[in-house]
Amino acid sequence: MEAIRFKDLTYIYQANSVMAQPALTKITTTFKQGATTAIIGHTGSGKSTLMQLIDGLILPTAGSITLGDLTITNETPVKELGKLRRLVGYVFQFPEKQLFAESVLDDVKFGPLNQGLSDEEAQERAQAALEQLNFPLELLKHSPFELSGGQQRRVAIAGVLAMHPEILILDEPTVGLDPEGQAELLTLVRDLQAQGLTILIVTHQMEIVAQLADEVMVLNHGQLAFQGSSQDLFLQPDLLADNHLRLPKAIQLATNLGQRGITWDGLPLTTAQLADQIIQMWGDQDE
Amino acid sequence: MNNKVLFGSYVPTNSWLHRLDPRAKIIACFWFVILVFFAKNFWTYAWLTFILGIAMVMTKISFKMYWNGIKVLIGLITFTVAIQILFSSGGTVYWQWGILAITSGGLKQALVIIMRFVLIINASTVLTLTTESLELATGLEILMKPLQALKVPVNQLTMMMSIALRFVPTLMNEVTTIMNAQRSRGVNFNEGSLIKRIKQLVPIMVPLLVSSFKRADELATAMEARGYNPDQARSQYRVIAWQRQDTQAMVAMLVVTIALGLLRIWL
Repeated sequence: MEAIRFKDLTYIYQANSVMAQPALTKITTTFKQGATTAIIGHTGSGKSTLMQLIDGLILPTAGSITLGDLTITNETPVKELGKLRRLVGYVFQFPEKQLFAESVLDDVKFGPLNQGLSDEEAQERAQAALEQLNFPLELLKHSPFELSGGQQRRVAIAGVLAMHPEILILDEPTVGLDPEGQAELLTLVRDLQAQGLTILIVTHQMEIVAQLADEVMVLNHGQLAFQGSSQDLFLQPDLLADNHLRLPKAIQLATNLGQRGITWDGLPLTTAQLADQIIQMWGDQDE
Repeated sequence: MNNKVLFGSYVPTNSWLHRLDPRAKIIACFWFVILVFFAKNFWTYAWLTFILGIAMVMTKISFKMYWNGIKVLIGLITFTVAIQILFSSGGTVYWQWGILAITSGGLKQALVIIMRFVLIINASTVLTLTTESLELATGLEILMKPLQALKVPVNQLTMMMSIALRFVPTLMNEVTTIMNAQRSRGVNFNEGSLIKRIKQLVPIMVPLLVSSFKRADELATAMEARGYNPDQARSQYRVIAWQRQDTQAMVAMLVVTIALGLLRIWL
């Protein structure tokens, strides 16, 4: 099952003017339902534009996007886009910037209330989302501006999760978090994966790609440079170099050791997998 | 999002006007605006329009961009003109209804107002299209220097001005991002009654204010850490030099003024 389909998707900023700037050119692809796709590419490759298109914040200049039974083209009326935003939850970069309400609870309730839910339902959903994010519930009535940066981010993400999206976009979710906060966030993404959400994660951290992504999409100058499993991507050093990407540390180490004569049983993607294989070899040697 | 707002944006085409000293341009623009109020009859307005037209052609920027600049203010112009037409008296009366009347005097007044609007808006647009905002700030700083004798804190004012100018695009970006974030949380900004629409501004204004406070705090700390002291005399990194072309521009303005004076007296 596919969750999203792009057909010849093109987006040009300020189209029909002298300052026209193509951001995405003729992208045709699909995203699987319930899978996690990492979208990578260097700055200005069109990642955020693509995410905004999926959320209906901008309309494609040409081509179409299909989500479920909704098809979005250049002619789609603005009113239709509301339906799209019900399906898609978008966690922007530095989402804590969007907090505005008087209390944490009010802020998280904002999205569900906009969806037309009753106050009780919104409250239930808000509390459930905050609990899922390990947010200390005694702070519910506090102002979001009194919280620490990490807590603020959790409130902002809860605000999106409370809307129960089917597709979740995370734009650089770990940027600016301390290592502990990053680890917590990755655990959360795993929980959401287990719940069957379709997740799109935009990131520059190749470790996240290796650990979380079922599929990787590489954008380069608004064009699709690669789509496939992360294993396939990491086995192509030329492709990585062309797109200014580097290997995750575990794979880098494995590759270096590989050059010194060690053979791996499949490429270890994470430090844990690397350690497992080394321990295995150690055991074999002892025998 | 803001390709509509032309006023204040800069278009680099490297024309003769682009290379002028910002001080010369500020003085010329200021002077031109004053001249507009001295114009009286058809010939004086024709003369000023002709001069402004030459300046606009010299910028090498398409007239369509100037039109965009005026388009934004068309509502205001129409409103003022309508008031002028309906409430002025004098001359032949064409139509009357209570205190409302259309008279030849009123129409004349309206025409004058349209001309003034168009001339002033276009003159200032020429200035902003050909001058980078930081250049403009430097120019104003030097022009305002004499005010220091009157205890006006010129240094601080110009510092505030250049910081404000620098942060306009940053804040614009921020507004777009926050708006997008709230839209994706289900806010529809193009819908609902006036009161509902005003309420919908809260989720934009509050985060914007909060982040501006934070930004100001961080910037102040960073400036202090780099040794900024508002009361100290500062040296200039951006040095602007008055050149021959700037004197030429001033002479041209003088010629325009004299010609205007003569047209006013004789015609």
